[in-house]
Amino acid sequence: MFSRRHTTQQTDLERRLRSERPEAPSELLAAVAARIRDVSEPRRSRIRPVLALATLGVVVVVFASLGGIGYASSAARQAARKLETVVQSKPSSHEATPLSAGQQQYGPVPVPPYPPPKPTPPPSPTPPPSTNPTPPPPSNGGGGGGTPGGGGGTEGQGHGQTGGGQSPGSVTGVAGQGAGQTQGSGLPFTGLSLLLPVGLAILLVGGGILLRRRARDLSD
Amino acid sequence: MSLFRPSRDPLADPTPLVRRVYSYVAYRLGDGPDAEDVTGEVFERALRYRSNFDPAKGEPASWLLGIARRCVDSALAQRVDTVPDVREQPDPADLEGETVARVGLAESLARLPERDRDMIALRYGADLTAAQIAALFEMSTNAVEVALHRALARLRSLLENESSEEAVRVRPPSPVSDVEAGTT
Repeated sequence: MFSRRHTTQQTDLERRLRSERPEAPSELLAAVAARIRDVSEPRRSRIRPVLALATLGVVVVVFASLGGIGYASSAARQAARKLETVVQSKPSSHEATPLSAGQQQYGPVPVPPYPPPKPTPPPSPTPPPSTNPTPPPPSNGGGGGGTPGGGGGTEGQGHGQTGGGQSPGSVTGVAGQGAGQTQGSGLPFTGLSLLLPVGLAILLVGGGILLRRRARDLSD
Repeated sequence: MSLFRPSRDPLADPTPLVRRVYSYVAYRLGDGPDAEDVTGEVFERALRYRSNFDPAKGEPASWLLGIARRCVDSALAQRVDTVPDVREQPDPADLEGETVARVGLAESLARLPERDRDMIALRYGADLTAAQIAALFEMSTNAVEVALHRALARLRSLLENESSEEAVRVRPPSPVSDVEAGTT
């Protein structure tokens, strides 16, 4: 489309435009360079990391003074131990699990369900025997526990007072309740609730972002 | 990590940037104090907004020339006369070839449409690539190359007209025509 002459002319024009372009006076170059040097941008950028390091130091000191480092290290140790046991106890899929000696002799052991089901509470407790000074009439049904133990003396009387057949059941019920309470509540919480510091941190970070954005808008 | 990233400070090495910005501004406004003032203003704005510079979006030169374009546009809007008086009318007796050529180029550039002048100033004054100009104009690179080609064609025809007019102006009157004028 373009002839050789046309292309050459255009190249000459381009060369001329480049060679004859106006040059900046040396005074202007020096003035602009000096102005840029005067502006304190680098000093500000040096302050920032120092400020960040100082804040980090304060946070670490506060964390250490509250015992956070000890908690963190023990938690990490526990996690590592747990991980180690999980990795060691995990059987590989391709090799068969060997039976233990007990299992070989008695067969597989049934695994009880976890958590164990709560036993039903006793229907109603019997009144204490001390409130009734008169000795109870000899009964055939209730004294079943006591009468056979008549030769046993006090033990047979005690069982007879509490009502024979119900007594072992009530004891088991109390024991079951006690175990259930211990499992449900666990140990009391003695650490620092994370809600407060996390909320404070989110508030501070959000405030910082807002301030930075506002400052940028103002400078624009 | 920061060792592998380009410098965030766009004005770390200002001297070549000042040269490029000044050439661009002078191609659009004409060489002289106006161009110096606008160049100074460009760098003042750059100092103010240097924290907004993002090296991922482009080079410092492109960023500065984006500022320079806005500064030149506002300077042109403030000008009363739209066409600057760049004709210096050199004395035909002591014409130097280079001076004539420079004045002719500046005058022809001043007669170009503003968009053509902008493109030529960015390409040959500030040494931007077609792709960088395309990013500034939000056009495709191919469209910028076509526009530059047309702008150069217009400039060339203006320069040819200019040289023919100069030749007519400089040519001494022929003695025959004087005699004819005297007789009539």
